[in-house]
Parts: sequence; C-alpha cells; structure tokens
Amino acid sequence: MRDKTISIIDGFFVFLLTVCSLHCFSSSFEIEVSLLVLILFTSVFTVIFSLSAVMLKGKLRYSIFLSVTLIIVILFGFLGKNTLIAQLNYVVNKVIYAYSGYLPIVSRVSFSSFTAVSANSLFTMLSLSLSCLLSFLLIRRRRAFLAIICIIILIVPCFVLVDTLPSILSLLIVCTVLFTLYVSSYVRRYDGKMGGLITMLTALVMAMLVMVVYFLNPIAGYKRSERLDDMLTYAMDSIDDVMSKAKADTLKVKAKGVRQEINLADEGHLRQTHTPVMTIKSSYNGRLYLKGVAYANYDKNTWTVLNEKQEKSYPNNYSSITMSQSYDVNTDIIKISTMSEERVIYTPYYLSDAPDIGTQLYDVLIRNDTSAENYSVTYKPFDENNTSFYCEESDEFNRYKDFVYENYLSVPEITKTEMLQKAEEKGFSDLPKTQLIEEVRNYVENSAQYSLDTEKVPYGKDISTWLLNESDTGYCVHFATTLSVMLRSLGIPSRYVTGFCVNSDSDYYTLVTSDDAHAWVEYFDDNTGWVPIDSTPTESAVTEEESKSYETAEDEQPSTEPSTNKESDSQLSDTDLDEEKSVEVKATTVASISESTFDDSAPKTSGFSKSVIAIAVFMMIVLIVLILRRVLVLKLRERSFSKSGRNNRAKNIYKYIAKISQYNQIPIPKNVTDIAQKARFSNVRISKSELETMIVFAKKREKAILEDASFMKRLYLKYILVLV
Amino acid sequence: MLKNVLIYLVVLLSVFIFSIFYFAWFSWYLLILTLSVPFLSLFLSLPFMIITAAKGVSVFTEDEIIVGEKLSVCISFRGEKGVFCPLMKTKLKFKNSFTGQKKSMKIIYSGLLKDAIYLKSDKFTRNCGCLEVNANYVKIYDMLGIFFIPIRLKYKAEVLIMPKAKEPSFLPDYEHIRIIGYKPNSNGFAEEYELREYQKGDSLRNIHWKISARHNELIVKDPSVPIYRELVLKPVITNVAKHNDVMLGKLIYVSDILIKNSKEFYCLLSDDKKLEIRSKDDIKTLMRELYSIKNPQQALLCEENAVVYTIMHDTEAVSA
Repeated sequence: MRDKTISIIDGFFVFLLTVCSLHCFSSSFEIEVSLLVLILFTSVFTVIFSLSAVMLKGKLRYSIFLSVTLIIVILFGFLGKNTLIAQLNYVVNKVIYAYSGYLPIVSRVSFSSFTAVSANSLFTMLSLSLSCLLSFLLIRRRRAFLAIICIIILIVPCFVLVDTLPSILSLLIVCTVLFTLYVSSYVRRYDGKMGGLITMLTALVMAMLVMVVYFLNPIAGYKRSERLDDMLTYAMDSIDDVMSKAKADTLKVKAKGVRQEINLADEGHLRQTHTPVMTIKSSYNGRLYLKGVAYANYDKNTWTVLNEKQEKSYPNNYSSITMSQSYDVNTDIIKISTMSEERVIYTPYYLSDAPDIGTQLYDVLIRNDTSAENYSVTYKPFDENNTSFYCEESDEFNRYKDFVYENYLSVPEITKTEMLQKAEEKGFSDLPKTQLIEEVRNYVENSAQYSLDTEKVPYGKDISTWLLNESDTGYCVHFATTLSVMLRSLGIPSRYVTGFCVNSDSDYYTLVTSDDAHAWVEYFDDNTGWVPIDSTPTESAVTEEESKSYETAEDEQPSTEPSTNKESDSQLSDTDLDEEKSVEVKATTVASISESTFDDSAPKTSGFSKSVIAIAVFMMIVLIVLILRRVLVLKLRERSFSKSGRNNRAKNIYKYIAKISQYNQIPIPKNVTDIAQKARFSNVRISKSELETMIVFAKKREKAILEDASFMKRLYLKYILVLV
Repeated sequence: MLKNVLIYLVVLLSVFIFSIFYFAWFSWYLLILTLSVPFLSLFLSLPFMIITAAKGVSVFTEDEIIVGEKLSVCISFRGEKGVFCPLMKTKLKFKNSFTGQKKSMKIIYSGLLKDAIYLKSDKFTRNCGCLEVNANYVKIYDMLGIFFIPIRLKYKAEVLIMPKAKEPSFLPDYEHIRIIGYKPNSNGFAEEYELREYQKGDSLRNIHWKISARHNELIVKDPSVPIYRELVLKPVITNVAKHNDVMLGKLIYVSDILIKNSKEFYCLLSDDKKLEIRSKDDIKTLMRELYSIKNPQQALLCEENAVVYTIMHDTEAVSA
C-alpha cells in the first residue's frame, strides 16, 4: 500500500481537479450546474475511487472493480437517459452559442424532445468519470503528466474563442494543483513517503505564489502589453501574407506616397509631430476639409482602394471628383504650397475643375503628375442646404451610381449582423434616409470619447463593433470607420476618406501640419453624389476632465480632431511665409492619419514590474521565515545548553559537538567523550566543572571549525546547516 | 536534464503563444506563473541540493554475479542522517570486456537519501564476461530537473559475470587416465614400487625378502608413484556470446566435478599457457583469464602426454 500521506493528498488533488475543472467549464460556457451537488458527489466518488486505487491489489481486482462501476454507471445512465440527453442537448447548445460568432451554426441543435435548464446529472456523470480517471492516473499509476494533460484538454476549450473567463477561484485552484503536480512529479514517482510531504509543501508554496501574483496582478488593473499586440499582428500578417499569395485582385492605383491600404489594427496610441505639410491660402473662412484618398473596400479592419476588378468595371467617362455643373458664381480659389514628397493633390469640397497638373485616378484620388509644389484649385465651398448643383442626372451618373451601389456597400458579414442589431436597438431602421444618416452620425459621435491615447483594437475584433461595445475612447479613424461601416450595413454607400481638416482664415496663409491629418466619411446621395460627413467628436464632446488633461499636454500632443477653435499657429502673412519656407523642413508623408508616429512612451502595462515585485516580496517573505527559523534554532540550542539538568545539558552539548566535528574529521577528546557517556549512561550527576569543560570545548571546536573552513563551507555551516 | 528543459520550454512556449492570442487577463497571469515556476522549484530545492552535494553520494556494485541474474547497483548518501534529494541523476557505463558490449544505465532518484538505494537490472548480465563499471559524475538537480550541481564521482569497478553450470553430453574419463610412467615417491611408502638391487644405505624395511630369497640376492622395493597423463580442459571460445555462455557453463560444470573428486587438471588458455586448477578459487582466476582473452582464435594444441577435453558450445571431444 502506498504511503498514507501521499494517498490522502492525491485523493484531495483528484477532488480539487475534478470539481474545479468542471466548474471552470460550466462557468465559461455559462452552463447551469449546482456547485453544491458537484462538490457532494465528487467527494463521494473521489473517496471510493481513491480507496479502491490504493487498497485493491493486483490488476485483476482493480479491473473488476472498474468494470462493475462502469456497468452501474451505464445502468443508471440508461434509467435516466431522457434527462441525460436533454441535459446534453442543453450543454451542446450552450457550447455552440459560445462559438456562434465563429461557426456557421445559426439554429439550435436539438436531439431531445425537451431541453433541460441545468446540467446537474450530466456533470455528476462527468465528475464520476473524471474522478475515476484521475484517481487511476494519479494514485494508481502515479502518472502526473497524463493527469495534467487530461485537465488541460478539459480546460482549453474554455479559452478558445470564448469571451467569458472561467470562475477565477476554480481556475486558480486548478493552476495551483497542476503546477504542484508538475514540480513534484519526480519525488512523487520515486519516493512515496517523502513525495507526500514534498507535494504538500510545494502545494502550500505554490498556493502562496498564485495568490501573491493574483493580488499584485489583479484583473481590474490588467492592461494588455502593446508588444503582445504587435507580435499578434505580425504573426497574423505573416499568415495572411502566405494565404494571400494567390490573391486575384491586385491594387492598381499608383501614386507616390499613397498607401493603397490602411490597416487600422495597427492604430494605437498616437503621438503627433507637428511636421509641416503644406500651406494654404483661401478667401474662405472656416473649417476646410482637404480630401486626399478615398478608400472603397473594408475587411479585417483594413481599408483598401479600388482593386483591379473594380477598376475594370469603373465607368471611365464619369468624374466623381469634380462637380458636374460649372458655376462661376461663389467659387473660390485655394492656393496650396506643398512641402511633402507625396504626389497627391488635396482638394476641398467641391471642385469646379480638375487641376491641370493632375490626373484623376478613378474616384480615388488626383495624382500630382508634375510634382508641382505650388498649385491652385477652384472650388465651391460645400453648402449643406443647397447641394443640387453638385451633380446632375445623366447616363454616366447613373452608371456610376450602379458602380457605387455595387462596390461601396461591402462589410464583413459578422460586423454587418452586429451593426444591424445595434441599429435595431436604436430604432434607426424606420427613419427616413436624411434623418437616419444624421442619427447614425450622432450615435457614433457619442459612442466614445475622443482620445489619442486609445489602445489598439484587440485582435479578432472589428474596429467598429469594438468602438461601439467596448472601447471608451477613439479618434478619427475609429469614428470614421464605425460611421462608414454602419451606413453600409444600413444600405447607404459610404467610404473612408483621408486628408486634412484645417481652419482656414480668409486671405491668410494657413500652415497645415501632420497634426491636421484627419479621416472622415463620404456617403453617397443619389442626387448629390458623395457628401462628406464627420462623426469625430469635436472639443465640446470631450469631457471636462479630459480637456484639462489635454490642455496641460497641448504642446506635445495636439489633437487630430477637427479643430474648431484653433486660432493659434496657422496664420501666417506672406512675409512670414517666406521666412517659414526658409526654414529647412523635413517634409513627411502625412496622407493618412495612420502615418503619424506612434507613441513609444505611451503607458504600457505594468504587469511585468508587478510580477517582479511579487516575486521579490515572495522571496523576502521566505527569507524572513528562514532567518526567523535560524534565530529560533539558535535560541533553542542555547536554551538546551543552559536550562534543565546538568546531565541533559551535557548530552545536548555532546550531540552538538559530534554534529560539528564530523565536518573536520577531528576526533573528540576522550575526556569529553567520557563526560558525555557518564552523563548519559550513569546515574551519577556530572559536576559543574565537567559541564564547564564541555561548554568550553564546544565553543573552541566551533571556532576552530569555522576558522579552518573555506568561505563557502563557512556559509554552509553557519546558515544552512542550522536550518535542517 | 535536457528532457525536462525541453518540456519546460514547450510549456513556456505554449503559454507564451497563448498569451499572444488570448486577450484576457489570465494569459498574462499564466505566463508570469510559468516563468516563476523554475525559480520556485530552485528555491525549494537549493538547500537540499547543497547539502546533498556537500556530503556526496557513493555508488557500489556487486563483485560477482551469475549470468542472467539481476545486477544490484547501490547508491548511498555519505552523511549519517538522511537528507531529501530533490532529484539525482547519474550515468553508469558498463563495458563487457569479453563480449565487447557497451551499455549505459541512467539512474534517477528523487526522495529521501538515508538508506542505500538498490537498483537491479539484468540488462548487463545477459552474457558472461567481466563487466567494467564507470561513473564520472552525479548531478543533483532541483525538483523540476532544470538546474543542477555536478559532483565528481570517478567510480570504477569490475563485476565478474560467472556462467551458469551446464551439464555436457559426456564427462572426461578422469578415473581411468593412462599411466605414462612412475616417479620416485619421496614419502618412502607407496603401493606402487619398482625392484632393484640393494644399495648401501637402503632401508631394511624395503627389502623384498621373498624375491631376495628366490634370487639369492638382496632386492629392495623402490617406492614410486605413477605418472598419469594430464587432463587438460580446452574451452573453444567463439565470437558468439551465447555460444560462449553455453561453453563456459559446461566448463564450470566439469571443473566443479573434477574439484569435488580431487582431480587436478589444467585449462588451456593459449598455445603456451595453461592454468592449473586445484580449487574453486582457481576457477575465478580461470574465468578472469578467459575473459581477458582478446583473440578467441586458439591453436588446436594436442599434447601427447595429455588428455585434452575440448568443450564447444554444441559438443565435446576428448583426444585419445
């Protein structure tokens, strides 16, 4: 029979593993199971199986026992098969529900006439099977690794594509037990008696470690490291690269400095660099959107321009960028001097004529063919109340409209479903189109607060649903994408546009910097064409608290939101402009907001430092315990030398002398041995002088040993020997 | 141990990948725990590792064993009191000098080192021979088997694997070995004697009175002992270990019979070397000599004055 200690401990481990792993499973998939029932039955099963594993000698007896148990279980299962099948149905449906976002299973699976509302009986059977298996592996066969693998197999589904974290307490207990089994696996296998003690000690220390790490790394304070995100993105990009080698559709829009795709999954904390990009001068006074590139396709948080297939179907005769009707009245001329190497002509809404220096690439952008640094564009400032002249009904326009409806409505299916659910909840579906667009814009605008200190979107989540459901903050790319995706989901063609949003002062040169880079949305109106709409909150939407925090950091971190009150830095006279130009400026491509540099100094998770502190604290505690133990041992020794009868004291001193003498192999003098033997074996009480002799000798021997020993051995003798 | 390091690295890698792909708090928590585990193991084990390493460990094996029996390897802690050894590993190298086979045995133990630990294995005793046992290091590991303290051991020993006695198809006729002559008996009395003329100084007791009376001349009995032909056992060693085991078993059997019957005999080792066997101790010497033979090819030596009992694995033969 195995040692009692390890059998009891293993039995207890079997119980903990069975209950906690099943509880993790049930809590993760939100399966209704009574914990009390689980504990009660598991304790009974564990006792039975543990005792049988320990006491039944021989394979035959044990096999007979297991067979009889199996027959009984099957019998009970057969008697209550209806309940069990109903509960199985319930559990399967719960599991499918958790995976429904990823699996194409919409309708509920049903293989029973009724579905249970809890899975107590099924989990009791599972507990029986698991306790039987674990007691066999742990107690009978001492195969800790196999037991660990079994539990991991049971636990892993709780973390795969399931959002709900299992019960924390159960999870921590499972972790403690598994790590304990892992650490103590060798001693358990080779020395049953010692194995029990060591397992117990390891379990205690492991429990301490688990708790310390838990308290120093609480769930509430958890912030995922950006490096992990980067690694994930890199890994997934690599996979995508491999997968997309055979991609048929290639992107054909070519213009220097233009990004054909923008991966929003890379957008995290943003730091702005105030890099000058261009200067503009216009008679218009107010906010001006300078459009750069329009992105058509959205998938996996990535916006891309028209692909080859779409380009082929584009109605070439139609120019969607310029107005269809030419008006000389109320038009304005904007002078643009670019400092960037980017070859995109930025245009305000709406262009009267396409600039001579540029080539219009479909409806994506106007390419700066001559690399001209100074150019002028004629436009008519956008008027929301009078948009009738922006385009006129024609065959070309109708063909383009068909093209738009064909290509500017694509959204990932899961995202679309979620967006439609949101729209249903908010009651958008019944609204007329104009009101609907405005309501959606307001909804997106108010869904989160504006902040450049926004984390990256978690992998696997769509940026739009993430902004609406989880994130408290976002900036232009998040709001623009969300608005566009929601409009598309509601059947309104829309697209993501990047460019600059500046406050133009009439007849003054306004400096446009990379801080003014912005993203907004254009939706397609059947009568007007593309209409700009911006859902990024303005300063007024930012909370007071946030405003204060940005005020303090304004110099270093200006916002990319459409600035309504900025009177500051962009008003330059002509003379100022020359002066400004003379300053050597390193022009940087700022066509899209995503090209702004990311803040490396952004707050990162402090989990690692906390864990280091936790380990340090833990080590400190253990060190203190060891020091206390040393002090205690020394005190007790001193007490045994000074208290009680002389014979006892002599015996204790001799024992100590014998212990320390074995390290230098010097024999103990005969007179000391004689005194010790006299103290031990005779009835005569030794004299004070004899005791004194022993004490003096003990001190001398101790001193001699320590002086002779090397440094390491001295440490060992002084600090480690005393501990054992 | 490399295996344990690899297992840990696999666990760590799995947890790391899990932490990349799983967004919730638990992945990071698990990563920290997994990173801490080796240090925790080291922390728990280090005092015991140091004590075990400071005191040292000894390894012993048996001197002699019968082929096929399990060889006991003993590991003992040098200290008086027992100590917990988190994990100990040593590698014993076995070389059978007779068969040329080389094998090794890994000894892993974890637990209380107080009484000697005996490990038995018949892996190395399947054939006769002289087993050379070597162990250079003992490594004291932490409980996970990742960190270790090496101890130099330098253990060397020899184990004689004796053959199991096997009866041959026939035994040499040791009772009727031909007398090839006589030699004087220094003891002065013997049943065998020769007759010769009296010489001055001969004992009167040796005078053969009857013959002397008949020949009218003093004839004395000169005591002598017969000179028998030598019995030489000639083992035929081959390159096949199993055949040698059978042959040596027969050799042992015949030797035992001859020793029991107080017969002196020889065992031919090589062309010019034969070993006289008188007692059981000589048999061990014989075995050592046989096991040390490097080249099993032997000349078919046949002495005129000897009865050569050739032992092969499948048959036996006696030269006339």
